[in-house]
Amino acid sequence: MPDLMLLFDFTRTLLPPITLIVFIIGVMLRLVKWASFGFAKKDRPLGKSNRLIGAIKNWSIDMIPPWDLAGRVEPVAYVTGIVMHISCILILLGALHAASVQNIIGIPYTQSRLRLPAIPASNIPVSIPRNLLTYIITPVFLSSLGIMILRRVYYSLRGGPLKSLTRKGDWVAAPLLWSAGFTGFLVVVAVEPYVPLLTLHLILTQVFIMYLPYSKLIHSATVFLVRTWFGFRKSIYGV
Amino acid sequence: MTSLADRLFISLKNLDGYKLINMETCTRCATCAHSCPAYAVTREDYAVPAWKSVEFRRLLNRQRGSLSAVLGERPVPREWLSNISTKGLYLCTLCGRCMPGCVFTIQNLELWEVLRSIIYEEGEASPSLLEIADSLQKKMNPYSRDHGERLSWVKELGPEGVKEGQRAKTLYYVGCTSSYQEKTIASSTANILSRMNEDWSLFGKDEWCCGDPNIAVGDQEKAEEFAKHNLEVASSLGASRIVTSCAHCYRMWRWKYPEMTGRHGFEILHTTEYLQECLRSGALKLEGKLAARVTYHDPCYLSRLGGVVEEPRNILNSASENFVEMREGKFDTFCCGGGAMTETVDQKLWTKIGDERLRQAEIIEADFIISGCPFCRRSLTQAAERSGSKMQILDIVELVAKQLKD
Ligand code: SF4
Ligand code: SF4
Repeated sequence: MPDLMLLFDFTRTLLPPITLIVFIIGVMLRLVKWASFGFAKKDRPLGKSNRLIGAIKNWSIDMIPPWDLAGRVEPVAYVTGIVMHISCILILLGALHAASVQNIIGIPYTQSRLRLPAIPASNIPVSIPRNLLTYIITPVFLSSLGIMILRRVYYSLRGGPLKSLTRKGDWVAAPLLWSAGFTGFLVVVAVEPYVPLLTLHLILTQVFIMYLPYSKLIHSATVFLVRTWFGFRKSIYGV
Repeated sequence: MTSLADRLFISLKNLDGYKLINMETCTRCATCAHSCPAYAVTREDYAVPAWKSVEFRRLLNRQRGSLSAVLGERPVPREWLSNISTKGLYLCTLCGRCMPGCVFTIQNLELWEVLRSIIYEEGEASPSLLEIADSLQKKMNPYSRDHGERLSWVKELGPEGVKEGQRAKTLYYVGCTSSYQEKTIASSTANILSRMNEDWSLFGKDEWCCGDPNIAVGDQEKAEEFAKHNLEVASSLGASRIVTSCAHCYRMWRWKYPEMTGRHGFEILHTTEYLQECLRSGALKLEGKLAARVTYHDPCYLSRLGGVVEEPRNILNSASENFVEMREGKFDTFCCGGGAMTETVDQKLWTKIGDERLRQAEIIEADFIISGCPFCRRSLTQAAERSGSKMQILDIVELVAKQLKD
């Protein structure tokens, strides 16, 4: 197994900085592209209500879908979308991932500005009970993401709104995330062979991180701007 | 393979960083399809709102990909543009429902407007929109009607003694659709203004289109030119406030003109806001509440894109005894089909959306649909005529004008 151990070491020593560099280059390219189009301040009309309140509303009560949406949208798609995102965030907040962040950025996680309140004390205790994370949240995440992928496959074959929107990238982003999640799950539930699975998990995860700024996964960052801006817009209209 | 001659560099001058970030946030999940009236009635894949932004991104990534700063820009094949124009760009009434309908609330409407401007500038706009553009250019209205006819409703329907293009505190901006097509809205509004003893005047022969159809065409520069002209006329007449009975004109004057030409000092009121003000001050007294079942259709450009939601309801509660809400109303209103000059651009889409909205009013067994926009009045009236429905369609000013107390 010497080659495998070499690869395993690589994923924990050399690969993280490469991942970080590729990720940062991707982020820089995006930022440069956005900036090249300019952010000229428009002479907005005087709004009817407060912008901050508009943003808060768009991040809270306005996230509740209209009462009749269930009649219009496929409820499965809506629910799986929400469940997948929430469970994904919870998994990332889990202890092991927090520790990985600590390793990669080199700053003790608890002192880092990236620190999240969900993980308080010094040695990163598991703030979400480990069993809950492993046996409930992760399977929920994998199934909801799996349904999303299958839905795209189904509509791509059968026709429907998703068909005209599906592009090559859609067959990379979600399957990559699912595979990273699945291998991680196998590692945590101690499926053998442990080292190859962990190696695969670390590779997939880091490829995912590298891919993020170059793909539609960028929405994980831009959503914070976009939702806030629409909140501002609605506050101008006072709705 | 497209030859070099069939490739071009598109103008991206109307795209900015904010819009680009909005566009790049889309995950192609298709949730917005379920909010889109065009998709609801056609079920066509190309009517899915995000199809437009996916195609827009394709253009952009070709011309200005991430490495364009180093490698230079690349031209886009012209056939990509004609593909967008013929397939899905105009399967859209610019109703804006796909913004709250998007899981991230991406401001899609602004993207559709920019995409329309690109397609127009590269000569790929739909032929009917090009006719509208020509009419706007030559006649300052989208209906190919003589500019001289703009005030014909005054002679035909009155009231008498209306001031035209004279100095006044309040100006009534009629708009093209009420001037040429839904003239009873213009005359009812004029009646009300006169009865309120308002110091008011029409813009007169100097009234030009508000510029909203120019945006539908994709000619943002012309829209700006019209905005400047109308603002200049209003200034020259010494007005301090503008009243309009059209939701599209309202949105232009109130929200778009400041963005296009800088903030102006006019108070802009839609007739529903004006009527509520008059009711509250006691200047407007109504008699004989309507006993029939009345519902209100929110014009997209007045509620979702205008911010006027409660005022018409307050008026209807004073003017009728039996007001009922339709489903998919207020901020979430379902389009009538009339936006973006769809009646001219895509008759089939226009009729299907109008029919669907009428059906929604029939479900709640309304006798009257009241609205606040000449486009809505027209689309829903035609839908009722087509189906032989007994539903009566009125603009809110028509209802109020009938109930004015002496
Ligand atoms: S603006 Fe309205 S018609 Fe156009 S894509 Fe969005 S929801 Fe559909
Ligand atoms: S709902 Fe939003 S993110 Fe999803 S496809 Fe539509 S515009 Fe894109």
